[in-house]
Amino acid sequence: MLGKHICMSCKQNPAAVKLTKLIKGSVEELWLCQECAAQQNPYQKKIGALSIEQVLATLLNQNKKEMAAKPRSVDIECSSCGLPFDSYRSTLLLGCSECYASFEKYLIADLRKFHGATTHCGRVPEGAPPVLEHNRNPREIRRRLREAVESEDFQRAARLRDELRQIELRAEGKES
Amino acid sequence: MDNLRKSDEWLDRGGPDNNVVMSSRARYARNLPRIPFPMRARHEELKEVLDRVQRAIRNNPRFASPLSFSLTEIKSVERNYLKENHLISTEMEKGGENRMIILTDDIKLAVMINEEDHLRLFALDTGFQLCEVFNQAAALESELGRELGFAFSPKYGYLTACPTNTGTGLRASVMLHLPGLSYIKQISEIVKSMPQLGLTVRGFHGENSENQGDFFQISNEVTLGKSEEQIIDLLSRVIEQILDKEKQARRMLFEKNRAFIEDELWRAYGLLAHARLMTSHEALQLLSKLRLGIDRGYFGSFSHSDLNKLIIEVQPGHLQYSGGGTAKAEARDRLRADVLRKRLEIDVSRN
Repeated sequence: MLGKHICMSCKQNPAAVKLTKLIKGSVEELWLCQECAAQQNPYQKKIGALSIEQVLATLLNQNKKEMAAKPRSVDIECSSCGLPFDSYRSTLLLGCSECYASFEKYLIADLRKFHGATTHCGRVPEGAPPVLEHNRNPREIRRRLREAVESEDFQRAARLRDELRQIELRAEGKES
Repeated sequence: MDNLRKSDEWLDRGGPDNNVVMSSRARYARNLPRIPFPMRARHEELKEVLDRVQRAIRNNPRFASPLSFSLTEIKSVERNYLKENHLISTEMEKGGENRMIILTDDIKLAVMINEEDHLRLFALDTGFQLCEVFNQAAALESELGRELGFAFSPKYGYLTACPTNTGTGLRASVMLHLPGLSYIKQISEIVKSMPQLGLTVRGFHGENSENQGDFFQISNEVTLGKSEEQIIDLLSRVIEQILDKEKQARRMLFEKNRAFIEDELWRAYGLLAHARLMTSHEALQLLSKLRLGIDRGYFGSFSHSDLNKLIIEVQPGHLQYSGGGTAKAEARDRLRADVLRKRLEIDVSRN
């Protein structure tokens, strides 16, 4: 969108910034190039000569640096087994099942990195409350089931049918 | 027959598409609540885990006449043997206190105790039988779970020592033999596309091993945020596609480059049938070619299953075990060449 406009102040350079001024209830829109914007925009002046692009670039780079850099050392231990969090960092092995609660805040990012997800949506132990249905979408399963039947992949269709039945059975159990 | 040799039995059963899919397996990682994971557990705690799991297995009818190995008691060559049979992991091969593997009589189900997690229970079979092994493992998991009550969180699922296994704790894998795709140089493309699908490719010897003899193990990487069925479904579909491509590649090789491929196969046969010294690396490369030939009816009565077994028989641990503890590499290379010569002479002269 910006590329289409020419700076309204110097009328030469392509506009890089859209400045919206709200003065006494009336809105004024200004398309400006880098240099003219720096003179007009009070906020831009405050951050000196940095353009929005530069600020963005810095932020993005910072993000990259953070991702590349080793995670900061965290000085906590598991309240149950006493494993220091840094020991997990170096071995990727937790000390006990309670570590998941003790380090929850920090582990979430790792789970997302390893799995692209942070919530379990597989089977649960017998007798455990069926809290997870929302993670498995019956509509999506039905769609895949139809797809499998259409392509005559009956083995897959049977698998999906079983999965669907399991969810439906659980849902019935919850209602009753 | 001794127990160790009995553990070979699963290797040559055949099964659907076993010219390409050597074996399928599904394993669950599980832990007992309130006891530290094995790497951090004290001696008494490991002992308690071992006792409780053994008791649960004794009560399970599937393990009516179990085959068990205490990793503490057996020798390192025997541990190596089990590792080569793909029954224990590299971690278990190190030995260690209160560690055990218990197998069913038919070597289709097994439980490793006190590896990285308290339990690693798995089902395995030859050929493309992913759904079958998954159902077997899942049935055993729920039976043992009822008795032992595994560590579970509604949010993160089954809790494991390494968060890369958390959630379902399910790792499904297949061992593929892909010489066709390798000859037409399409392997790297397939390997590269796996991570995007949430799958991992490993070599013949599993974790951290190189690709040898065109054997590839493909397994799911992601265990959290997907249901068990989704994991099996995705892996099955990907394997089906690879299977099709491999069959196509083989057809093309034998139709369009017959002279070239026949030469490759018979050269491999020539070396295997006549060499006097053979390293395990070279043997695997050559046996891989032989396996491709069997597919097209070369090499007489030799079957895929025979070959699967032969591949394992000439691994260092197996030779060392049957050769009465020949530890030196050169002696082993000679023994390997002898074993191969003998087996190939007999089987090809039969027709």
